[in-house]
Amino acid sequence: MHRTLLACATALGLLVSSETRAEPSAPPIFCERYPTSATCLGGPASCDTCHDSTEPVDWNPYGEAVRKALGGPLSPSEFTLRLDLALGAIETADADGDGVSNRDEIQEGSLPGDPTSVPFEAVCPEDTTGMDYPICERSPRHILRKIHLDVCGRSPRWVEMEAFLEQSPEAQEAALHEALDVCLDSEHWLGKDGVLWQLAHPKVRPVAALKGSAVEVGPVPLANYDHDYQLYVWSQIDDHDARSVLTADFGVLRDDGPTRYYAATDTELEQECAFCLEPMQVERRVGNITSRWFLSYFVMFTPLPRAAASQAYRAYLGYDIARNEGLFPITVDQGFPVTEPADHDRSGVDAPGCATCHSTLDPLSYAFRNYTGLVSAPGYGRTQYIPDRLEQLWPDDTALHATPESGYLLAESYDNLVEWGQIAANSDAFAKAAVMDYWRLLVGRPPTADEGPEYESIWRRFQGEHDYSVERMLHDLVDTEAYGAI
Amino acid sequence: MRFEWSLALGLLALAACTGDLGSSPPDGRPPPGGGGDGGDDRGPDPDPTPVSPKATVKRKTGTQIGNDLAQALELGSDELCRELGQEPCAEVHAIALRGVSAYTAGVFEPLEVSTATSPIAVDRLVLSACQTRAWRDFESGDAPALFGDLRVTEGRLDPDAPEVEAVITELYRRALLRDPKATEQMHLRDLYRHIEATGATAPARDWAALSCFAVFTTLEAVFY
Repeated sequence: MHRTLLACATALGLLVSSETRAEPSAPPIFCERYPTSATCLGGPASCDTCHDSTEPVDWNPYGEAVRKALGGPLSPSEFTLRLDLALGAIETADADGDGVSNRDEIQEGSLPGDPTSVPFEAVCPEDTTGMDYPICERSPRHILRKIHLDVCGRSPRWVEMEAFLEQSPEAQEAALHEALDVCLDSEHWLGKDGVLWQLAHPKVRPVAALKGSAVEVGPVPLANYDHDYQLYVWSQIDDHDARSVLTADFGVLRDDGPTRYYAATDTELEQECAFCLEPMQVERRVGNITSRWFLSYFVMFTPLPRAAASQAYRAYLGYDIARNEGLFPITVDQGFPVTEPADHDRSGVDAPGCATCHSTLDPLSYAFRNYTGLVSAPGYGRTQYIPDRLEQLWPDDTALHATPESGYLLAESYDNLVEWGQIAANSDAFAKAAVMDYWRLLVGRPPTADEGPEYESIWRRFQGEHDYSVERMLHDLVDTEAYGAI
Repeated sequence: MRFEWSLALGLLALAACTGDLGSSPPDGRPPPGGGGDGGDDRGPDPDPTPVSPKATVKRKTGTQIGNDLAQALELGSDELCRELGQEPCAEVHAIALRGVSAYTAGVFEPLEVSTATSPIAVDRLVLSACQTRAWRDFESGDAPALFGDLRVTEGRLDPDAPEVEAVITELYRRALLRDPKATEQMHLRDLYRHIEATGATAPARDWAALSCFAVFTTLEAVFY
C-alpha cells in the first residue's frame, strides 16, 4: 500500500515541470529525506502515496499539498532543488486530516493522502499471565521451531524440544545457533529445489522447454540453467563470498546424495551441457550474468541487450526498472558529461515518456554490447564475448556502431561488464538486496519502520564483519526481534 | 498478505489466551449443542483478542506439512498423499501450498495470499496421512506407532480410559510440541463419543484418524 513513490513523484514532476519530461530524481530525494521510513525500507513507494489515479492523473490530498509547496511551473533542475524543501514544508501538516502528520504516516508506512490509512498501533498487553504463552516477547521455543521449519524443513521432534526447554536461557541461545548450523547443511536448505535453489528462481527465470542439460533436453535446448542455480547456491553457503554470483570466472557443479557443490573446470561443465560450444572467455566472465543461460535467454538476438541489464539489476541489486525502481538518470542536468538515452539503436527511447527510465537503463545496458546471445560471428560461438559484435553482426547499421561499451551503473562509470559486476557486487544495493531476500524468506515480510535500524545493521555487517558470508549473516538475522518475537 | 497475517495472528493470540479456538466454557463442560456444531446459544462475546504487534506468522508450505506429518506419524515420504495414487499431493497442489512452479509455469515465487483451494489441500494432505497411520496401527498387524496402546473391543474404546489420555498427550507432543490442556483432552474424548453415536462400525479407528486430523489442522499446526 505504500510502494513506488517514483510514479507519484514522476507525475508530480510532469505537473510542476514546464517541460513534458518526467522527473525520476524525486524518489531518491524523498528517500534521502526519509531514509528509515517504512516507505523507503520495504521497496519503492507506491503511486497511491500521492495519487488517486495515474491514468488519468489525479492527486490525493498529500500529492496536492506537495504540488502546492513546490509552486511552479518548474524546470527539472528547479524541481530537483525544491522537492526536499517542499516535502519538509508540509511534513508536520496532516494532508488527509486523519489526525496523523504526514511525516508520521510516511515514517510508519501508512498513506499520508488517504484518511482511511493510519499507522497500525497495536499495543502489547501489560499482563500476559492468563495466556498459555506470553506474546510480544522473543521466544526461544518459538525460534527453535522456526529455525527447524524454515531451514531444515521440519518441526523439531518432541524429544528435541523437551531437551531444549530443559536448558538454561544461555544454553538455549547457544543451542539455537547450533540448530541453525545443522539445518544450513540440510537437503531442504541446499539441495536441488531446496530453499536456496528456490530463492534463485526469479534470478534465473528457468524455462523447461529451453533447457539443454545432458539429461534434460527441451524442444529448443539453449543452455543448462542448473549451472546458474549451482553458482548461486555455492555463493550462499559455507562462508563463500556471496558476491561470487556477480564476479566468478568459474562454474559450479553439484553431486547429489548428499548434495555437494564444487567449483568445476570448463571440461567438467561441458559434460553436463547439451549442444554446448566454446565457453565464455575467462577474462570476460562475470558470474551468472555471463552464463550461457543468461546470455541465451536475456540477450538472444538483440543489439542492445536492455533485457539482460534490467534482469541483472532486478535479480541482484533489487531494482526493478519496470516498476520505476533504482533510477539514476544520466543526464547533463544531473551533472554527468552526457545525456542519456542516446538511442543508438533508434528505438525511440529518447521520447519524453520513455526517457524517464531509459536515462538509467541504457547506460546500464551498454556493458552487454559485445556479449552475444543466440547469434554469433565467424570465429566465435554463441554466448561469447565478440570485441566488435555490433559491427560484425549488424555491419550496415553504422549508427548502432556508436554504442559504447562503457556506461553508468548506480551513477558510477564503468568501462566494461567486468567492471559493471565489480561495482554491482560491492554496492550497498547488492548487500541490501541479498539481506532482503533472507529477511523476506525468514521473517515473512519486508522490514517495518521500527525494524529499519536492525535491517541496516545486518546488511552493513554482511558487507563488513561477515565478509559477505550469508551463513554468518543468518546467525544475526535469527537473533532479531523481528524473527523471534511471538 | 496482511489480511492473512492478521487473521492468523489474531487467532493464534486467541489460542494463546484460551488454549483452543473458543468453543468450550471455562469449566470444561461441552458447549451447548455439542462440540461447536453451530448451536445458537454461544454466550457472551469473548474479550477482544490481544494482537501481538511484533509477531509474524507464516503458513507452512506443502513440503513442511508433509515433512511434519511424516516425522510425527512415522511415515515414509512416499507414503504420504498421492493424487490418483500417483503424484504426490504436495507437488500437485504446490502453488496452493505456498510452493512454486518455476520450470513449466513461470511461477517463480510463492503467492502472497492463500488460494481458494489452500485449506482443502491442507486437509487432503493431513487426512490422508492420519488415515494411513490409523489404519496401520489398527489393521495392518505392523508394530503400531501412535495408537497401539488403546484398548479396543469390537472396534470401540472407553474415551475416559487413561490410555486414551496418554494417546492424546502423545498426539499433541508430536504435532504441536506441547502437552494438551484439559479442555483439549476433553474435546477429543467428546469427538469419540460423537463418532460412536453416528453408528460407525470401527469408531476407535475412525477416532484415531480424525483426532489426528483435528490436531494437525489447527492453526497452531499449520502456521508458525
